[in-house]
Amino acid sequence: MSENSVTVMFFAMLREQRGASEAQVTLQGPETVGALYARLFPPGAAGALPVAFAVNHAYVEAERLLAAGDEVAFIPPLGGG
Amino acid sequence: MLEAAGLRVGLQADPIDLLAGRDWAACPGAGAVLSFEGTTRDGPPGERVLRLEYEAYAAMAEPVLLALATEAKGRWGLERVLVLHRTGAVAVGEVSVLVVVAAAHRREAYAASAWLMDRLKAEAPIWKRELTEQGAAWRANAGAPPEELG
Repeated sequence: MSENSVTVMFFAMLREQRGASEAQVTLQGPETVGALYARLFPPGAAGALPVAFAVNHAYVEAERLLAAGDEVAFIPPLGGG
Repeated sequence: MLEAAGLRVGLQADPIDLLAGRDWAACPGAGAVLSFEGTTRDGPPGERVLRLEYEAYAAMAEPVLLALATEAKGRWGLERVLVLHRTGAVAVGEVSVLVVVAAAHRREAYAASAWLMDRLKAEAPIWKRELTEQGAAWRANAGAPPEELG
């Protein structure tokens, strides 16, 4: 793990699309969680979804700046219940 | 599973023991013990559901469920709140989610139970893949419910 990386968790259709349930990703300078999502799942690409964001197990806004060591999750539309 | 005073929430791959949940929630201060079971529903002919598969972000889902249970307990003055949700394969007709609330009176129990299910569907990081005769698809819940239901 590089010293400026975060752990990204993938679930449901995003997990299937990535072919992995998590990845270590190096941040590109100051990067928000929304920007990281757009980098990993470019808008307009097949499977780009409206998602919510979580950092360290709590929901956050897309503008949240990431820090090294954060656990990031992209939350696709929920289906619990 | 996470527990706090009067609260128990958890994800589990095994079938949910309904009576055990109800017995845990029942207590002397409760005049109403209300159990809600969400069950896996079949589709119409040609779209028969073979099973559902639930996937959860467990490290986040359990704290989210505990936060919801805590809020419901405070808001309606509940005695006990239990929320259990299945993960993995769930056959048609099986219980995928159990919510049990114990309250002094029934009105608080009904309101809290409905609120908990609405919030769970909108906030708990859990996903559902439906396997039918036609194939498999991820199924999302309808949009977030109104914030105020009480």
